[in-house]
Parts: sequence; structure tokens; C-alpha cells
Amino acid sequence: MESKLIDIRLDNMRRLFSEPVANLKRVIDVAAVGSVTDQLHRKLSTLKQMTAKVAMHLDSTWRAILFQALERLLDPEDWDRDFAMPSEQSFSTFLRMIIFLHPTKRPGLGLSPSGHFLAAWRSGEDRIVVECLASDEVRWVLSRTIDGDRESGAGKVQIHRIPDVTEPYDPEPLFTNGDKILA
Amino acid sequence: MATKYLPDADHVVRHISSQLLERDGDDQVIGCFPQAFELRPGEKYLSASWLEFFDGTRQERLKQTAAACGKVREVRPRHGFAMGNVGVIKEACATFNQKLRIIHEPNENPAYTAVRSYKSDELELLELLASEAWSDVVEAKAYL
Repeated sequence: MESKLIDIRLDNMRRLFSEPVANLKRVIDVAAVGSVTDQLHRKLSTLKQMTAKVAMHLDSTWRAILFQALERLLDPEDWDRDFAMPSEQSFSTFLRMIIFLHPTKRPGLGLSPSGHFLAAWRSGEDRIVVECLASDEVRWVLSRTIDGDRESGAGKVQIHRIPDVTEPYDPEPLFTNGDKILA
Repeated sequence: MATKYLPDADHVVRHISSQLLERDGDDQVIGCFPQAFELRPGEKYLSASWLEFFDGTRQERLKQTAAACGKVREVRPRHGFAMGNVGVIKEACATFNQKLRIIHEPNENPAYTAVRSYKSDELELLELLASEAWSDVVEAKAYL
């Protein structure tokens, strides 16, 4: 069992170093120009292109759902003018995290006021929220209730460390959903 | 003017941008992200509204709160409102050694409330607020 887990982890690490996925790490944030609507349209287009480049690692149905979520998050109608424009570097970390973690449950997506992508996985009232920063770094917080007692943990790590730092909280039910495959 | 602290039994309502709402696969709002309670650079306190400032049922009060918020900032149908009990929020923050002062400070929004002496650098506190203490989240469209 132990060696199987190691094999899976190694396989996921290899994906991060494979050509199209590794290239994501070189993405830089582009200063947007023009009206807010123009800026959001350009950002949306860039984020979709980034996703398309690693499409072979993502389930096609989920990719369509991801695009819809991005369209909603960057909808000029609902845009909060106090928010920073979405960061390409943060989105790169998000995509690389999905490819590395290989979750079988779809995360809820959000955006922080500083332009960082947020992903939430839930199982009932328990959840983990991951804020994707630049350069594969994430800020995570996990809360769950066991026998009526709430416990939580939080930290800031590189994506490849997420399984290790969340392991004490038994995060499997948060990330998995039967046989569905997203990445 | 005397400082008006909100009673522990009352509720505060925070306007939440659509980007910070957590939705399920059917696009239904199921909560908000902890970052909804993070102070932005330069912010010294958390903005909210006092639900019981207005009369009526919860529904009526929320509608009036939405209208009052709308005087200060844009409230769109896909935005949300998070409601929390004052006493519970204070208790949650106390577990992180924060003694909050929740004060009615009317401006263009007559129900405007400032959550003072609040620090948002502990992500676990933000998650405690988002998932328990300040977790009654609704989409704004029903109240506009």
C-alpha cells in the first residue's frame, strides 16, 4: 500500500515536470490595460488558453465546467471594482495543483480581493479552502468536525506538500467522489 | 455622541462579492470563502450592517439592509449577504484572543456597523467565521 502511494505521488510529480505543465510555471502576470470590461475579457481569454495548453491532463467535462466558472468569476456585470485583476501566476498554481493532486471531486472556485484563485472542497460541513499564490505556493485552511468537536489547521506550502500537511486531517473524503475523474 | 455597541443577541450582515461566494455544482450558494472576512490593505475594521436596526421579519430586515448597503456600494443580484450573531462572532474571535468592539456607526447607510479591534491575519479564524460564526449566507437577488 505504502509503495503504491509513493508510485502515485511520483507519477503526479512527473506530470508537474512534463513539458506543457512545467511551462505553466513560467507564466507572468500581465498588467491589464483598457476599460475594466476589456481587461476582464483579455484575462479570461488568457486563462482559457492556459487551460487549453494542459487540456490533456484534465477531464473534458470538467474543463467545460471550469470555463463556465471562470466566465462567472470574471463577468464584468458582477465585478467588484475594489478587486485586483485575476493573477495568471495564481491560475498557473491552481492548474498545477489540480494536475498534481488529481482530485476526483470538483472544487468550488472563487477569487480573492488580491486576485488569487480560491478552491474549496467540501464533504458536508467539513471543507478545505486553498488560496493559490504565485510560484506553486498555496495558503490552505481545513476545518472538520469529529464527534461534535471542530478542529482546524492552516498553513502555507508548495503544492507538492499539500498531501503531507493535510494528511493528519484525513482529507480523502474532501478530494474524492466515487469514480469521477477530473485530472 | 455615545458609542453604541450592538447587543450580543442581534445580528450583523456583511455584503459579499460574488467572487467570494462558494457555490455548488448547481450554482447554488452554499457558503462563502474565508477571505470574505479578510481586511484589505489599509482597512482598519470590517464593514457590516446591523440587521435589527430595521423593523420587520428577517426577510423585511434583509431587504432594507440590502437597500441601505446599496447606498454605499453596488449590490448586484449574484452578490451575497453573510449574517452572524454578534455574541457568537465575538466569542469566535475571543478564541483567537481578540476582544471585538462591534459599533453602530451610521453613515449614508443608517445601519452601518464597524467591527473594530479585529485582526484578520489568522486564516483559521477567517474559516471559523466563514464556516460557523458568520456563516448564514444568502444570495442578494432575493432581497433587491
